[in-house]
Amino acid sequence: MSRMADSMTISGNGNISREELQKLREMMNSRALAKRRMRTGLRAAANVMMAFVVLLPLLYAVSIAFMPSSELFTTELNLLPKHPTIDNFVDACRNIPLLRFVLNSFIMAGFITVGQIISCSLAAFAFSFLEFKGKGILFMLVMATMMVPGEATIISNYLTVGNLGLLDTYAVLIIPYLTSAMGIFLFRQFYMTFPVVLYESAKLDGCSNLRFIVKILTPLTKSAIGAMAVYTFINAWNMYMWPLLVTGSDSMRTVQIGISMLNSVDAQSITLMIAGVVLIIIPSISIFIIGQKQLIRGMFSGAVKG
Amino acid sequence: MADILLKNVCKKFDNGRSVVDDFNLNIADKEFIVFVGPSGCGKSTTLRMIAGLEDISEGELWIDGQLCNYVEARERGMSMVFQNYALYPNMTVYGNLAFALKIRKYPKQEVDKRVHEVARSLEIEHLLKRRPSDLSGGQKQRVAIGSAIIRKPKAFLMDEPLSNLDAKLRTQMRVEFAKLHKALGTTTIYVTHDQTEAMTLGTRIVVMKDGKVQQADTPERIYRYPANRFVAEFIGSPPMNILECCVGQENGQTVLLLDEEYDSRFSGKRRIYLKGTLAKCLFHRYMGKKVLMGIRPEDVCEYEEAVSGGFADSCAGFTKRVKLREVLGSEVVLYLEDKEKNFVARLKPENKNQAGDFVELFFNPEKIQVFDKDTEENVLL
Repeated sequence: MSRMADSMTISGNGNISREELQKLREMMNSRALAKRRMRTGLRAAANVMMAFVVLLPLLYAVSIAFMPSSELFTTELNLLPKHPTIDNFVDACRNIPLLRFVLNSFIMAGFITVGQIISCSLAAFAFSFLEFKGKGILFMLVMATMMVPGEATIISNYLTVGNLGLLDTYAVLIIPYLTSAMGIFLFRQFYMTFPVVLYESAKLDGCSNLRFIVKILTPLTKSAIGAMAVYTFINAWNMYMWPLLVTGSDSMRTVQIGISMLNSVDAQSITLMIAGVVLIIIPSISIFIIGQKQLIRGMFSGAVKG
Repeated sequence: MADILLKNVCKKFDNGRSVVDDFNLNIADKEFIVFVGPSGCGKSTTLRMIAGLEDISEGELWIDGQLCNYVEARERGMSMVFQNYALYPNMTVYGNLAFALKIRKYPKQEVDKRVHEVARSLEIEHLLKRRPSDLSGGQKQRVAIGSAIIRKPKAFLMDEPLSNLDAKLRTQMRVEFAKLHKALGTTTIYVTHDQTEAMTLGTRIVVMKDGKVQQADTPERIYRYPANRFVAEFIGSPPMNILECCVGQENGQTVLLLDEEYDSRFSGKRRIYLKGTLAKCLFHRYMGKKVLMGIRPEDVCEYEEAVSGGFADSCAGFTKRVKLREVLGSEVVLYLEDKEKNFVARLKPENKNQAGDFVELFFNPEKIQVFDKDTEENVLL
């Protein structure tokens, strides 16, 4: 009652200061504020805990990479290195030409990414904007290739590239993966949400199909391209079977094979291998961090109208 | 500027469904043609066939004396304004306006000059650096028009360009379109389902239904002399009243006997005495037969007006109970009880009849249209 009278006096005088007003507001809102803060705090704590659980294997791997071998092979639980060292990284780079492998993987994954974006977007353009006989059947055929596992075609592909004399070259790593049904599907789904009236308007403006793709479609589907680029790059970076089969020399091997080369029967060192793994996941994680916004937007675009 | 001729044009889809059937129309240079009709009548499909966005299944399309069935859309020299503007969101207003010219490799200075000219004429010069997402509906529509006029096309094709705008802006833009057509004189084909737009803009209106042309004529003639019942009821708001009646003869004159229940209070007045060509036509072809009589709501009046108009004696007194009264300020619209649907009368604002009252109304015989009961075609056309 007295507080009410005070406030009435204050408003009646009309000379309430900013601080007083703030204090009054805080007092009135303190309960709701405390509740909100508690809720936010709990949510943040739960998120941090979940993130920690999910990232634990990765963080542990990073920790092992900095551990001397002697610390790992003990009966105690060593989560963090007591005597951190970078020897494992130095040894990993010394034992195998890791940088060369990284370069090879970059070249391969880079070309595959660019190639798939170009080929898949062109194919998806045809499937979504052009009208031609057998379009539906052709698209179904393309989709059907997704049902054939890669392993089923790997021998015939090997024989083909072997006969072409392409073994142990960059070309053999790149060419078979220059397009993908998944990429065509992804782009097509994205283009289906693109207003067809823009294509018609461009056609009447005198625009050719290629020009439309370059000038209008591509700039407006950046998020789909970003999503596709991240997805393709990571897949290509992680490829193991095909590069193992078609490359023989160190100058052509990719990182995934390189890592397995660290696992020698004679001298197996877990810390060395983990250091190599940590080194090679840096590029793929960087790509993901750079493109994560695009990836999420690209994956969900078209799911909801608007 | 272009003459456009559509000869027996048909559009059939792969599943055999026919959307446009035997469409014939000769569009003269500088005409403003409006395609109007209910949704799904094929008006937009016809426009898209002219634009080159749809293939023509059968028939011929001639533009300026050149057969254009297989000419690419970009080579037809048409420009189109779409319902949802179709502006490129990644380009500025300047970029949107200049796009068609840049594709045609116009010199940079010429592009710049034309963009500014068009922007000035449409009062959008201050918006040139903005992107379409920063514009209001009306501004977007102006930019869309600008993109269409900038390359001086042979004809403008407009596909319901005003339907996304609010009522006030629509009226404003309608006036702008009329001004633009007067200034440029370019052949224009305009698609709409709004009859007000059709009546106010078109030099000729093409009324369509189920892919067929019902009537192609000037707005006045379409309104006054509809070719069939569909046109009569589609054009005009409220639509034309249609009543079933019988053709007979009385005192040597052809009369229309209203097919109504007998009402002793108004006996002797339930007939309309006809004159002129209509009377002759009905006498020779429909004597004793049933026909459909059409009368516009504004051609229905009360006794005093019928007397001053000189047709009180030659016309029936039509008695009905008022169902609903709408006061529109300049007029009063009465909805009267009828067998199947509303009978509407548009009367002077002085009318005092309320819902539930009986009202006696008179028809101006000179404004009456008669349709064949079976074919629903106008007997005089």
